[in-house]
Amino acid sequence: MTVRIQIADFDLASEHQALRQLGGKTGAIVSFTGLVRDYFEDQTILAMTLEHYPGMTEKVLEDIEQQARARWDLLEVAIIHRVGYLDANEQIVLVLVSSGHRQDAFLACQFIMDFLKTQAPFWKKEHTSLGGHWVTAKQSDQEQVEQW
Amino acid sequence: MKIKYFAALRDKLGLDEEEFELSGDIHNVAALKNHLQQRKSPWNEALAEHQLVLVAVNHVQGDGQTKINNQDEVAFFPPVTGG
Repeated sequence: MTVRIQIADFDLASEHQALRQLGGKTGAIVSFTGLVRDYFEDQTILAMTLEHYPGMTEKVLEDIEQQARARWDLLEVAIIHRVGYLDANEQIVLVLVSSGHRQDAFLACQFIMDFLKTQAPFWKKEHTSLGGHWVTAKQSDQEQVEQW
Repeated sequence: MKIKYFAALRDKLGLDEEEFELSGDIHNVAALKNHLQQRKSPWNEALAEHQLVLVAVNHVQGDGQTKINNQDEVAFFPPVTGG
């Protein structure tokens, strides 16, 4: 289990390699990378500030991972989420899941992201030329997580 | 107890955390919230029901019925937007 909250950027290839090296029986590794979008409606997003609730964030992510493990047959899981000031197009979050089988890896990865987006205590503030605005939680994310 | 405020809520209130002594008649989150709303503006508007303020007690999401005591850490925050 790897759950990291960090300011520094992550490197997909090294994280992927580290996961590969952890174990036998791996048949599939699925990865998801979330990036800072460079647009919001008709405005250009220049950057984003991300904050979180230290102490609670790690607990929630570990709990989400445990829920995924209870539902699917997983080997390794890595969740890395950045915080701080991020420029447009930078990486925000990485989820890596390995399994003996691709179905479990695909579904667990989506599950983890859907729950992260609706439960993990992070908050984003987008910066445009008009100033900063807090991102509001989307109804569609809530509907998505209820599908599970 | 410690009360923490995050994100847009913190900006509205101008406060990120405070030490708070629970009085005898505050036993749950709803009672605490009501008490905080008695402070002058912007507390009343910022913590109003329609603002969808969420709460965690000792790092676990709760609701109005969640019981609290002076050893707890309570956090109020807007709906989350990570990922």
